[in-house]
Amino acid sequence: MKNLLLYIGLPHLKLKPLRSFLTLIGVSFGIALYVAIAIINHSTKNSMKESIDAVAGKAKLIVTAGPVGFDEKKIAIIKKIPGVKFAIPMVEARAYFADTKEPSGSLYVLGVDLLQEQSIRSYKSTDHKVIDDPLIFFNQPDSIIITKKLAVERKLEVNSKISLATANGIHAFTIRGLLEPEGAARAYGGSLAIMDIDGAMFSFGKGHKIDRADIVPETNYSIDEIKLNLTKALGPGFLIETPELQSSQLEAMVGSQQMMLTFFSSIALLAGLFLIINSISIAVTERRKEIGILRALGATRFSMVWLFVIEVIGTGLLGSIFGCLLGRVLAEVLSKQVVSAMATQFQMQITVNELEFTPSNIAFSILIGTAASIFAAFWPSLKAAKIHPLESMKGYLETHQKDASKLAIKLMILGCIILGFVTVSSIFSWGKHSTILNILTNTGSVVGPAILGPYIVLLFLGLLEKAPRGTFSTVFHFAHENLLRNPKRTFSNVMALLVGLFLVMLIATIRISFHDTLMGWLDQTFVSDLLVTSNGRVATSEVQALSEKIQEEILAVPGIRPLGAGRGSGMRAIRIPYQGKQISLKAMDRFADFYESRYIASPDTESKELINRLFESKKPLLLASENFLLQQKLKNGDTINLDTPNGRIPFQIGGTISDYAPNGVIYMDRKIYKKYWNDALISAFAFNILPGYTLEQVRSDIDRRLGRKRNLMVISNAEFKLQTQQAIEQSFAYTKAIEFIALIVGLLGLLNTMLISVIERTREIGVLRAVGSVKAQISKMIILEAILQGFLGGFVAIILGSYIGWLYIKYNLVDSSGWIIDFHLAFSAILYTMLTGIFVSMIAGYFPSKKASSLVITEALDYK
Amino acid sequence: MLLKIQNVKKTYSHGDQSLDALVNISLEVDAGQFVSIMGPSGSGKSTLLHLMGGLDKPSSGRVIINDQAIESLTDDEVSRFRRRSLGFIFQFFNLLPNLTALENVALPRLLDNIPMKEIEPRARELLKMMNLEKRMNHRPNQLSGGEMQRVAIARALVSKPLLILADEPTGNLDSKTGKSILTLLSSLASEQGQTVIMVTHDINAAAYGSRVIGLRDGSVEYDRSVHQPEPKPMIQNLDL
Repeated sequence: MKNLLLYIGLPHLKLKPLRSFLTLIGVSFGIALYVAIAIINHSTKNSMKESIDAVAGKAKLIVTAGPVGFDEKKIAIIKKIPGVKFAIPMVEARAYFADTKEPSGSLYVLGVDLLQEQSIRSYKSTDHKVIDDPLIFFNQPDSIIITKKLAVERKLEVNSKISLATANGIHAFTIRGLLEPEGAARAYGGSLAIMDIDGAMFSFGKGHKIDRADIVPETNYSIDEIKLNLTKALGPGFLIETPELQSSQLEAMVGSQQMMLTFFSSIALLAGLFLIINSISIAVTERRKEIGILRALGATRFSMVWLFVIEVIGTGLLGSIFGCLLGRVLAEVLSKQVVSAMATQFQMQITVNELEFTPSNIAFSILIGTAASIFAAFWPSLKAAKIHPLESMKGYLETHQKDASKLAIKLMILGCIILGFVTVSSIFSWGKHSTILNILTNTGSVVGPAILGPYIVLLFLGLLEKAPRGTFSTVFHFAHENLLRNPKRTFSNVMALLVGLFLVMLIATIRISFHDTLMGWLDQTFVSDLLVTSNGRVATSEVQALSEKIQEEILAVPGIRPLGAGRGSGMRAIRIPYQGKQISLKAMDRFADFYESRYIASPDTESKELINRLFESKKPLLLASENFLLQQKLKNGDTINLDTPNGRIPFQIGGTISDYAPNGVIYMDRKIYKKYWNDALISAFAFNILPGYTLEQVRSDIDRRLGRKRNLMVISNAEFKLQTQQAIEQSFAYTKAIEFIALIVGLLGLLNTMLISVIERTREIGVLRAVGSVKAQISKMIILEAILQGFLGGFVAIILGSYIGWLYIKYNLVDSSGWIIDFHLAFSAILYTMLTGIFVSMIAGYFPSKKASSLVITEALDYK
Repeated sequence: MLLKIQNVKKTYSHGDQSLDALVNISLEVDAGQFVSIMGPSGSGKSTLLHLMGGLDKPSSGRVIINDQAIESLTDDEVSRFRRRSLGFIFQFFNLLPNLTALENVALPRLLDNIPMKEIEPRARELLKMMNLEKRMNHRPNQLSGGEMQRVAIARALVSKPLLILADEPTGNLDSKTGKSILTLLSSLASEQGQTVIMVTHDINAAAYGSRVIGLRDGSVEYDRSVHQPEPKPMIQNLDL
């Protein structure tokens, strides 16, 4: 084997440096994206766990009661429970910097009782003063301590002011100290501040409520025992969890998103593998005679397989090493986009403390890359093993072509079977019942089109042959003939490119379907002229909540008209736990009759009827989104129990609505919400503008009267929709990188095979030149071949990408998330995919065309 | 007896049609013989050579080399047998273009995982014997047709084979070079006792053998000995 590698394998790699390089780069790109996503996923999970552990400190149990918290008096009860050594209260809030509207311009505020904190969490300030003497802190109620990291980022120092949006408007806090990145200060990537618990309760509109109590147990009690005691003493409405459980719940929540990311990144890896399959297939074809000679001289079939596999190990290993380096860089570039997309989707703060790429991660990535390369090389290598020794003694063109057409038909059948499986599996939700079937369905949805697509391209090429003579130029005719005459080569060329283009179309179809459905829903339901809110992004409910009393102050502004006179205009959006998931709760004031038929959309009931049910029900009632009902296997009329600060309350499901937050949404009357959740805060107020007033007039009036004092943001209908649009774009932003990588790999694949096709046809090109073809004609022929493949590849990618996109939206998405999204054909993406296909193929065809046209005629004619 | 062909039949099928390439052939070859197999195109001479080399399997009958029935061997076994016990010389030389003359000669033994340094002395000696000592590090495209065929002969000899099978070895050479190659093969048999079986359609080439077997339509038409004049010694003492 060593001899084979040394005397046969390596010289080939050296002799074909460009091909070896292109394959290497292709593998590197494929691995890079896979590695980048793996790094981001791993780091996100670790950071989330770290944040939870850092805030939990020595606590072994954490008591919470949903987003609105629970009465601080409960601490006294908890402290008396057997087994509880310490019960430390805390207020948690997300505070927005007053100078920004973006959700990223926020920090996590922990309201703590510093006198008790030492028993559970450690803080280390840069000057050791603040924490050593908490009294300094209490004597100055505007005090806040921020992390050193945040201070550097926002150019702040001790004794400088930091303006934050609070429930009562903008408040300037004085920085009393800076925290070293230790203990709790490591949480949330250092985007953290601590303040006195009473100040936090006031500033963030908590009243006398706290968000959590951290429990340090007595050593002679088991955690389960204490948990049981706590449950008994506190009653329903409380969540008693270990920090580990919180971490695993968060992990599970982002798990589906991370799986989707891994799936997309695997496609890039798959495209890289196609490049290897392509490259080895070509090498086997090119070296058919050599293999025949080796076999005639006594080389075994097995050694022929290993000859190619060993050659690939080198490429795979080097490609994986480069891929790891590139992946680390790519992770840096992509992490912000990916994390912000996740944060937008889950409407929570997600930060990555640091990107972790440990030696074991590196080793694993290299192993995966190399193993995948070997796996990819194995199939074409088997072809080498099948080459008969007699090939060394005869011409093989005829046999080869026969093999090619047989192979094309086999692959077509295989592609149809795979796509058939994907279709049936999607329709009957097989993936829901078995992880293996789910993986097979996902893999099949890429491999199927990759195999069937090139065959369809060949069919189209065959149809072109039927065009009347003279329809196309002679050069076009030659180009077309070349593609048809070498189906195997055309198959390989198109396969590499098609995977990239398919991915572009698939992602675009999903993105546009989401976009159009959500925007259509918004057009129907969001009818007020403006929203008044605070810092943050209202479209994703990431805002600083406001006191409901502000409504009266806003109504005093000239030009403002309430949606429902005397009925209120507020909406509160929070996330509550239900059956281990975080669902969205939207509590609404009853608006005017005109809007009642608009602001709630239902797939099966008249909106007005739903509104009546919701606001006139004597018993607690809610409306639930389709995805909530599907995920929880519930239906209209069912009753669900919601844990509230006032205990477990049964709510009847009064109707189905359309809304698209992850894990589902429930709507309820804000009066009911206030009653059970003891929360009078408002996430956004909706108003109309009286005739004769303009948006700008009203906006500047609100700014002037209340803007600074209450820190209000006025958002017009159009601006809100734009925010929503941006949130959708943000959720898909990282997919651009995936598309880009897949296209690069496709381009390299096509470039590789086009170059080889020119080398193979050196003699033929020589003949064409000898009989009078000018250089430009040769160039044009090669470029046209590339364009034809790019054009038809793009066309087929559009069909298959749209089909798989349709299957995903219609079935897989409903199964996995319950989202019922309308399929929208991505018209804009059709043109983009087609143009991208042509553009990429033109680039891939350019160098081979230069090479072909610059061949010296006499040398080309002598070429064997 | 080095080679025994017993009732060998070879039929090729193409769809519904079948073609008998060889019909019930039996023959024996002693060690040290130089046998020429003659016949027009389609007579089955190349098919017979392929069966002798284990490149193809007979439809029926047996091919026994040195008491080893090669048609019963598996593909891997016959491959190993080929590289250790047979030497091939092809019409189109079939040298690997990426290897030097020396490496091409060493190839069958390299396939047996023997380190180059162990093979090299013999490969050099063989090339020297072929008067190619100055061409050892040349690649095939830097050699003439005759030189390439001499490299191929050296390659065929490198494993000290029981039998050399030559398929139209002069078919792609000019007549002068062809003659020198034939003389070389003849000397291998007469001076070194190397068994050589050569397929040719050229009667003048066939005459270099000590025995000529004529094939027609897949059957042996004639099998006769040829009296050879005493050739001039061409090969110095070499342990073949």
